[in-house]
Amino acid sequence: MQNKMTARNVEVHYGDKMALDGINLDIPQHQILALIGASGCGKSTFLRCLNRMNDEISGCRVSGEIFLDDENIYAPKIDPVLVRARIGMVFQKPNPFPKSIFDNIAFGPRINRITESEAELRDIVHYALERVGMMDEVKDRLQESATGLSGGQQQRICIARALAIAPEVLLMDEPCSALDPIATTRIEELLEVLSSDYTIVIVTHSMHQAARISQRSAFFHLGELIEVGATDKIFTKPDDQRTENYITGRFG
Amino acid sequence: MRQHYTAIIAKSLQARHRRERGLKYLGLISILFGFAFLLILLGNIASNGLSALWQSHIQLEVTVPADAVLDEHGAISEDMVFETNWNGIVQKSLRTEFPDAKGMRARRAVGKLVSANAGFWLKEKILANPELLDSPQKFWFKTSDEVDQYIKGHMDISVPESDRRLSDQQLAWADTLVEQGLLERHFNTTFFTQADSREPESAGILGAVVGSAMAMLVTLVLALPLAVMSAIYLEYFAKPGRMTDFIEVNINNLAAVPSIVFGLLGLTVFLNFFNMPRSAPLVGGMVLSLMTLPTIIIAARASIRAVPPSIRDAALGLGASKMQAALDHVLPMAMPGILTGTIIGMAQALGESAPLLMIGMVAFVVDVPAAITDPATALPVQIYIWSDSAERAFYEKASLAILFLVAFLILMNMAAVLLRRRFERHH
Repeated sequence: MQNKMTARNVEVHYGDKMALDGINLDIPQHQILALIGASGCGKSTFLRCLNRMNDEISGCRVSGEIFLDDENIYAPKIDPVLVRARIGMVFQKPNPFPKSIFDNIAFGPRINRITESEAELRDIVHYALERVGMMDEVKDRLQESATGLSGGQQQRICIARALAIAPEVLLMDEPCSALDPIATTRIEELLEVLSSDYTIVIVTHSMHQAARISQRSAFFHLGELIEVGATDKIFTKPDDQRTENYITGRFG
Repeated sequence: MRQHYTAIIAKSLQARHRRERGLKYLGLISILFGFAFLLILLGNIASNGLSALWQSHIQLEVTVPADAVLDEHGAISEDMVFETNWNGIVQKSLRTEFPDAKGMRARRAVGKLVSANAGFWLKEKILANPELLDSPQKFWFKTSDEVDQYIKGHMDISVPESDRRLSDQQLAWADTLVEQGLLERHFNTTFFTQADSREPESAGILGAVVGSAMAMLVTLVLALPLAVMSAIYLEYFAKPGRMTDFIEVNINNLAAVPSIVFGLLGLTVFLNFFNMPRSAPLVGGMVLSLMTLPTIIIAARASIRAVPPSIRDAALGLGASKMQAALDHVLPMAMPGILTGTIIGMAQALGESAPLLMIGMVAFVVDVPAAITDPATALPVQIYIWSDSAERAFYEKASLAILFLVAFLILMNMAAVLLRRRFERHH
């Protein structure tokens, strides 16, 4: 199994407080990796390290190395803007821009100057909508505001928006926590399909969701990575007592 | 099992409600107080100023001979126009109304009834309509400001004659004219179409309004982009540290600096060092924009911070640069808040006179400025100049100008409130 991303000795501090302590984690290509753990365990912080979003948080310091393919994205010569274009991100709360559906999805290609031609841009937007299975739902109202859609639709627009610049990795920070069960199911089905083309890292609070969709799971606890392995194994025969306690609902 | 507390709570509730009512009425009373004072203030200014909307006029029949204007070829000659004693023509016609006024003193006293600018007005009228030459024409001439004030009842006639600006005889003449229907009050268009003048009856507000508008325009053009850029820089680019803290503290300090200090700064830097024109709306606007800058920066920072961070995250997550995220998404959403702050800052600047005094916008300017480098004055400064004048008629005009200024400020603040409402509805 080839690794798409590799984290080596990643430490994160917020001011004087240590948020992540020496994380070593491999992220295999074209799989779904679930990050699980109790609130405040550092899993979202780790996710934001993967595309250097933590750079934007004042007082946050990241040390260690994270490799995308063979390139350390924390090397001094690396432009974080390029990293974020290569590694897409979907957030906890659906956050479409207060613009039309079309403009939402076209934003990434436009600012990154992927194409000059309007026709090509339209193709990209249509392709992204096809990928998230929304083309039929919205094909007649591409010019309407994306904020008028339901929460589940908004979140899929956000995924389509990320896909429009063809990222190599897709980071998802609890993408279903604000959605109802039906919308959640649709997103989960979508992720399964997408995982054949994209490497996906998903933070989730729902153990059922992790069990349903991920091939591998990583358990974080108090800023440390306790255990990582095949999801089946983590959920049935965890090596560490703390993992077992969390899985069985004894804390967290 | 302990007893329930219902009875005790119910008892205390009575006292609590009583206190609540007391507080409510106290609040209501203080609001009424504030409102009453506002009404008294505006009522007082209005009762003083609204009469300036009218101006007394005397109807006189004058005949302007052709040779006052035309040369032997029948063409308008500037020399002839210059030679003509226009005021004399008006005075002569006025004296025919009062044939019993004999002697130098009495004749001069009659002449004081009409405006000193009546001749000038007649000249303009005739030059615009040469067909009126050589035939008796009836014109309404402005009265002098003293007669106007007497007609409006603003002159205290119980004062001894020697301490009054008009003698008993002059008052009697004015009364005669009123009885004959030759003295009437007409709407004062001059007030809205002219700039300042030495004679109250010829003074208008337009020069000051245009001067103020030009200065405001300069303020807006300079302050808004500078403030927005500063706010974006401080919110998104500045690394937190001593330097940023220092800048932040000083922006707040700047907002608290007395406005006259900005005037001094404008005087030393813009006028003395850069040799920019004195009394110009350009410099006035520059000084006012310095004053407005901190207000807009503070408002802009607050509204940028109020934009949900998720929007910025979304843009950054798609590979937008910081600037793209700020300009494409954050700024449009923060704009209503920024504009609200801008309007409030501009309203402050509009009512400001002290800094303008320092850079010479207090000059006596009789022309409406045509460019931002022309000498001009501003509304609040015009009010200051007029209220400082000896003539009672200027006091009346100052009051009316205050009403205009207040109305304009209320309009601006209402626009700010409406913008904020719209902003709140959208989020």
